[in-house]
Amino acid sequence: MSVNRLQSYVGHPAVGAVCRVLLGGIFIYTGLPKLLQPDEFARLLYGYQILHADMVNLVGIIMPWLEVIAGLFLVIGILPQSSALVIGGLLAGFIVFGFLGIVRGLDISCGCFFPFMGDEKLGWDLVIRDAILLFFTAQVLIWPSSFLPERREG
Amino acid sequence: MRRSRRRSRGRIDAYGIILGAAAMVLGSAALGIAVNHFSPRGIPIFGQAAEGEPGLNLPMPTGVVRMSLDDARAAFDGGAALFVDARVEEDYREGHVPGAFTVPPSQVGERLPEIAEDLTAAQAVLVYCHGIECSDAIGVAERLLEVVPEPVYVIEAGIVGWVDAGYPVREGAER
Repeated sequence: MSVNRLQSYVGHPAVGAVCRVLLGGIFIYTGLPKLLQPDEFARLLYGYQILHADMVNLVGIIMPWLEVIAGLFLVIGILPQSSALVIGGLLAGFIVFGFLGIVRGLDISCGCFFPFMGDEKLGWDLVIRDAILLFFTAQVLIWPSSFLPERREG
Repeated sequence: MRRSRRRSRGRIDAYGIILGAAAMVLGSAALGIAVNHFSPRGIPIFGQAAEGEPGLNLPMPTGVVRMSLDDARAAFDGGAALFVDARVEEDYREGHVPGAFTVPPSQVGERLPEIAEDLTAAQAVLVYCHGIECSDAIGVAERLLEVVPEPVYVIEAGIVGWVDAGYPVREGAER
């Protein structure tokens, strides 16, 4: 299969729509419970022992909103590349947090699908899952698509 | 025409993308802080290190009061306080505050009648779990209020803080 042909498949708007709905859906689904229970989420963040205790609450307040808003924008297709960049940044952050947590031997809940899967322990499988999701953000970044009607120019 | 427009949409405009992402971050921050301010479940924006301990200064339920490690140690030395370990039994056996009762969150219902007499006789009841990141101590403390008059204390620093401070720990099953 030629590179151009592969690009035409991977960059197809239908593939973009699947990537956006999947990624955005995951972030809305995981962000909403954190948004409703900021105290529990702050504790979970503290467990990673990376952020200073003074900063944990602030991150715990803002991050769920960022997840939900970026997720929603991504699904609809509002600023799809910016939304993908935000979600890619969050995923990269999760990977770094997860990696540091694992190498330091922390026995904590990952909080990924908090609180529905609160007992899911932090492990390499979760880091790998986030790394795979990064490919989805790359698809949207390179071939942006949207459910919104195309804006007429001129 | 259509082909060229699609190609121009597909181009990566790095500046525009970053600007949009920055606006999204700032918008989320403003919205999050505003909603948190008015929400009944809102938390302090900055966690405060209370009495020299790291902490998140998160709100406690009615009747549950946060206790510092130093005060917990003083209560331990006084001998009239009762400690409750709100972790799973396996963790309890690996090391707990000497004399502490084991009350895992999943067994509060069955343990409560067994230890009710000791709880009510104690001058103060202090509950702990792993550390600041766990909320099991708060959950168990709330349940203890069914038999113990307010307040029930929670040692937010948990067993991790207790051990780090060099305070005594006992291994094995006890109570």
